[in-house]
Amino acid sequence: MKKTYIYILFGLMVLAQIAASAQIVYKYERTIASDNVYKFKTAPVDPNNPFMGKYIDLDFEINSFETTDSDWNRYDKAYAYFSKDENGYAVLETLSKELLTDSKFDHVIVETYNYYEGKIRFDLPFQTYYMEESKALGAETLYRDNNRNGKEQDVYAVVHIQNGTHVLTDVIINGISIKDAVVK
Amino acid sequence: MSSKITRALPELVENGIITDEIAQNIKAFYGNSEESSANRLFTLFGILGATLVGLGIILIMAHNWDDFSRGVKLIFAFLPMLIGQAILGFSIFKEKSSAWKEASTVFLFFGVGACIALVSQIYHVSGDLESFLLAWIVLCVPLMFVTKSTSAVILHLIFITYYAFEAGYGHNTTIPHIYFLLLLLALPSYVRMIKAQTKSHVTSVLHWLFPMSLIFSLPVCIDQSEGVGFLMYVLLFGVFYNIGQLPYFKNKSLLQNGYRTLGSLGTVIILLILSFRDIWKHQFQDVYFDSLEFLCAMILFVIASVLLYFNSKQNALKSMNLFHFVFLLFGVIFMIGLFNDLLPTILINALLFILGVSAIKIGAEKFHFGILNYGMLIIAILIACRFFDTDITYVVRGLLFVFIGGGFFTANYLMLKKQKSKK
Repeated sequence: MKKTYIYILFGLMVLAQIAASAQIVYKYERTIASDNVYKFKTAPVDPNNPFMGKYIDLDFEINSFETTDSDWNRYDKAYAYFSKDENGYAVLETLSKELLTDSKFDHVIVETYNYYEGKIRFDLPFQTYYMEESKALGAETLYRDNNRNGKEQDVYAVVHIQNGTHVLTDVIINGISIKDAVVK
Repeated sequence: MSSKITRALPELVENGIITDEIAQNIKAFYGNSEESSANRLFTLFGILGATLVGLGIILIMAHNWDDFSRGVKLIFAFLPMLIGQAILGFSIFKEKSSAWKEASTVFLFFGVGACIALVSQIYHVSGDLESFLLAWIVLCVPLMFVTKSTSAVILHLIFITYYAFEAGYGHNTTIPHIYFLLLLLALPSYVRMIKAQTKSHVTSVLHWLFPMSLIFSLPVCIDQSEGVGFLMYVLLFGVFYNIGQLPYFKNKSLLQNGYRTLGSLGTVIILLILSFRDIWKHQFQDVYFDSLEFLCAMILFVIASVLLYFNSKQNALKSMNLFHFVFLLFGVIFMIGLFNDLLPTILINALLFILGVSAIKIGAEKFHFGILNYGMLIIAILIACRFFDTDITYVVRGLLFVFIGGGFFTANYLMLKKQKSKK
């Protein structure tokens, strides 16, 4: 290959590598800046990922939608539309197979997994909250211990949503960020 | 070895066994090869070092430091990639040695992966491993072209195989056709290496990695017709064996010729599985001729046939053996197997037995103990397999094994004796 071509290809590769990650950063930073925050009630459990380290898996209360339409397949993509109640908690308004152009609600794309007893069940797309490796298991244990002791718990994920883009920024357990609650 | 020879040179000159000029020539020859092997070693340690540092950075970042702000985390996420790009740029523009290029290529490769992974981690993206691997691989494809780096090709092959696994196995899987496109992208560099450095050890590594990647990834093409999967594998191994017999591989050892070794071993293993009648009873109920699997099988058949034709033109028909033609014979047996389960079972057993005998014959002709014992091992395993689905008494089984063991000893002893008498 000619040297000029090598230099051009190298330059393009560098730009593509930086742009690929930078556009993800830009997309999420814009969503966070929009300040359109939803609270999703959840419970944490603890697995881990070989590339990204320790995280807690979030088990959300909103995980199904009542519908008479039984024509759903496993792993279908669907659009979940949300509003907020007076305390900022997310309320599922509808689940649609198509993007609704005239909806006033914010949406995220979800993956369905089964239709059973009049409900279509789905997974929300922000189930992963990465934590410092020493804290992930502690987060799950803290939640479980509180449950066992019959404590009333208020656990929710803080999610920014804008134009179908979502960013999970925190998990709050009884008013404290989970990463600080574990230290206590 | 070379240092031993150079140390012995003064004594040889002193005793008049070689002239001073010859001694100088020998010294010069080994001096060059030592220098190039030192370079190779330096490159190898450079690659190893870069791999360890790259992986180390990923692990350190995976700790997920809660005390850092998002901005600081982002800087750390981009930093390894930017450093890798800078070092690789420096290596290219300053035309540094291959050790520089190889090490910086490896470092950048892991830097790109770390950057994507860590950005995903910072924003808690629950993205799947499949799309992450694909983005990583695609962004690093140019590495194979901007430097003539062998490590870029090796990493590319390892990671596309990982991607094929992730995308094609298990439930909710799509057939990752892009894997084959990515495999093709590695071919120009591979062909260039074959043309440029036929004696390189790295090229020998690629002669193993390419076929192994395909062997591991082939099941991703099997969607609804598992019976055709067996046909696909036999054809693939037929392709490999015939590639391994091309003129380029002619004088290469089994270790340097992954195609031939894997083609032969793979064929025998698949045939051993198919030597059980139960497989023919249950695995060939779902053969569809209008399926993607069958299309893949047809493509493999054409490639294997072209290679066989080319080999028959290049070599005398005498120098060809049964392993060259197994895929053709199996094609016929496969068709019979669609209507009957007993006949193909008998034919496969006969084919395996003849393959074993043919390997023994090749081993004996070439004085190659490995091939000789390989042939006997095929027959031994074939007989052992038959103990599972036939009703033979323990006495007969015992006698058979004694007979095979005796065969092993006798064949090796006779060949050793023959070899000594030749000397």
